[in-house]
Amino acid sequence: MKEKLNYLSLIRQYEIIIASSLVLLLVVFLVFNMLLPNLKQANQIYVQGQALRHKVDALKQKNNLLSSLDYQYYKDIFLKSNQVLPEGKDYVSLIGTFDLLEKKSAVTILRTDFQLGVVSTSSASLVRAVNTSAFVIPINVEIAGTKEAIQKFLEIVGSYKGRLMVFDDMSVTTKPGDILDAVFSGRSFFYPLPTTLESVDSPLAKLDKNQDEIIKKINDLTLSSEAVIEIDQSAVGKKNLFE
Amino acid sequence: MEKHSVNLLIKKENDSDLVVRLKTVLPIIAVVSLSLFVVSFLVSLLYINNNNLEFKSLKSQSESLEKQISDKKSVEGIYTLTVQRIQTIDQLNSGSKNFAKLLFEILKLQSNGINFTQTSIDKKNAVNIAVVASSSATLDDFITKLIAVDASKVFSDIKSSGIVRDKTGGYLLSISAKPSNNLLQ
Repeated sequence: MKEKLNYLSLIRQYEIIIASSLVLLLVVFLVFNMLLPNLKQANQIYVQGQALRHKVDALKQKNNLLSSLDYQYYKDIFLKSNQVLPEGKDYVSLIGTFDLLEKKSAVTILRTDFQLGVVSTSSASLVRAVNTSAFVIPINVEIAGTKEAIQKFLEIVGSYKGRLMVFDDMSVTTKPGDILDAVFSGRSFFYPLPTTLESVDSPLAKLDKNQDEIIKKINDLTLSSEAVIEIDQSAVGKKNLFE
Repeated sequence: MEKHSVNLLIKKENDSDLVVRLKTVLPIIAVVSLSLFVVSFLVSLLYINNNNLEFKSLKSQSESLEKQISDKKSVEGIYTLTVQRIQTIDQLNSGSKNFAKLLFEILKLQSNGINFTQTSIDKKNAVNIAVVASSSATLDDFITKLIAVDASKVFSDIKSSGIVRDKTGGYLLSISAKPSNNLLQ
C-alpha cells in the first residue's frame, strides 16, 4: 500500500515531464511513420513531375516543329537527295553523273572504274565510311580536257549536282595542245536508310548552317529529274546491273 | 497522559534544478514539435494532393501531344530521313579536298617557258610537280616565283630535286610542296 502511494506521488511529481516525453515519443513515431513517407512520396511526385514537364515541353516543341514542316518540300528534298546519296549502290546513277559531268564541264571521260567489290548491298563485307552508316564505293576516273574544263568538272563534283564523290588523290599530265589528262581516285557512297523511327518523345534532329546550305543546293537540283529521264531514255539496260 | 500528534500531510520534497528545468522546457518542446509535425504533415498532404492533380493534368497533356505527334508520323518520317541523309552527306563531304582550287593555284605557277608535265596530289596532300624549263633564265624566274609563293604561305616546304639539263638546253626538275589548308577547303 505504501509502495503504491510512493509510485503515485512520483507520477504526480513528474507528470509534466512524463506527459511531455510521451508527446515527444509520439511525434517521433508519427514523423517516421507518416511524415517521412509522405515527404518521400512528395519528392517522388516532384521528380516524376519534373521529368513529365520536360517531356511535355519536348513534345510541344516537337509538335510545333512538325506542324511547321512542309511535307511536300521535304519529300522533294528527300527524292532529290537520293540522287546524291542513294539507298543502294545504284551504278546507273553513278554512270549518269559522269555523263552529266562530261556534258556540263566539257571534259572527255576516258575511263571510269568503279570497284564493284561485293555486289550485294546488304553484305556484311561492305566497307563503311568513317563515322557514318554510309558504305563506300571506290572509284577511279580518268578525264581529258582544258584546264578550265577540268576545274569546272571538279567544281561540279563538289556541288551536289549528282552522286556524291570525294576524291582523295589526283594526277594531272599535260598533253600537247594545252590538254590535260587527269586521273582521280576517290570514293562514292550509298546509304541504306534506317527502317525505324526514334521514340515519340525524342527530339527532332536539326540542321546546322552548313547542312542548310546543302539542302538549298539539293533543292536547286534540276539535274536529278533530267538525269533520270536521260538515263531512262538512253539504252542503258537494266537499272540494276546485277539482276 | 502524554498527548501524541500525527502529521497526515506528506512533506513535499523540493525538486532538483534539472527537474525544474525539464518541467519548464519539455512541455514547450513537446507542444512545438507536435505543432510542427501537424503543420508539416498538412503541408505535405496539400503538396501531394496539388502535385497529383498537376501530374494528372501533365500526363493527359503528354498523351494528347503524343497522339498529335503520331498523327504526323508521315511528316516526321520524311523529315527525319531527309535530315539523316543530309547530315550523312555533310559528314562524308566534310573531309573532301577542294582539288579545283588547288589545281588552279598550281597551274598559276606555269608561265612562258615553264611547263608542268606531270602534277600529282597524293592522299597525304603532298604536291609533286614535274617541271620543264625551256632555259636557265625561265628556270631562274620560276625559282623566284616559288620563293614568293613560299613566302606568301600558299605552299610551304617547297623542295626541288633532280635538276637535269637536256639536249635542247632545257631543264627538267621535280618540285614537291605542301599546300596550305585554306587551299584544300
